[in-house]
Amino acid sequence: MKSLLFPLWVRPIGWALFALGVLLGLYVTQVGASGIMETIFIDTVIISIIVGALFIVFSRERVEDEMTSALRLRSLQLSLYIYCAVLIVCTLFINGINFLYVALYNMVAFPIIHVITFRVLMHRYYNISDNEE
Amino acid sequence: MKNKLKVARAERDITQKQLADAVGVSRQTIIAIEKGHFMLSTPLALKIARYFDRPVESLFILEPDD
Repeated sequence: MKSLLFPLWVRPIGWALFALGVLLGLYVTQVGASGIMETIFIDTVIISIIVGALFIVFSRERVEDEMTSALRLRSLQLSLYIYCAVLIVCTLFINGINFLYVALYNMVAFPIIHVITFRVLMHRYYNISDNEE
Repeated sequence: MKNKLKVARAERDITQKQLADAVGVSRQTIIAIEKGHFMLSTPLALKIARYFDRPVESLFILEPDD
């Protein structure tokens, strides 16, 4: 079956885009922007985080085998559980105009959670050792 | 599922890395299989059995709760 993964070399590009999106997002929320610049900044934040996360999570590993595929699927499941739990809590406890912020952060929450869960699982995988060889 | 990979490797004096390279997976995956942390696919089980020139049932044994 044909692999739908990106080549390994796109991962650094993914991290760069992801970092750009997160930093620009922090800048927009802390300092703010107005007019056309606000639109450009917010579009850049959302697209950078989404594309960056896709490049990070769906690029090939150095040795791509069935266990890395299983971990990729597991991280997708875990991040969906975490995302849904956070969304439910926010829906219950945040109301009124503040819920607009939830809707805004919601657009980038899943890619961010997925990147974190996948890299944590892969970090644990690369550190598997039985001290034998 | 139990497996006798570690014993089979010891009998042939093969390292985890050599086995991993021979069947096209990483060493971490071989460790996870040996420890029973990862349920491998049928094609990989067959590749490993062919590498050791043994029937697959002699390396991987189903347990009653599998």
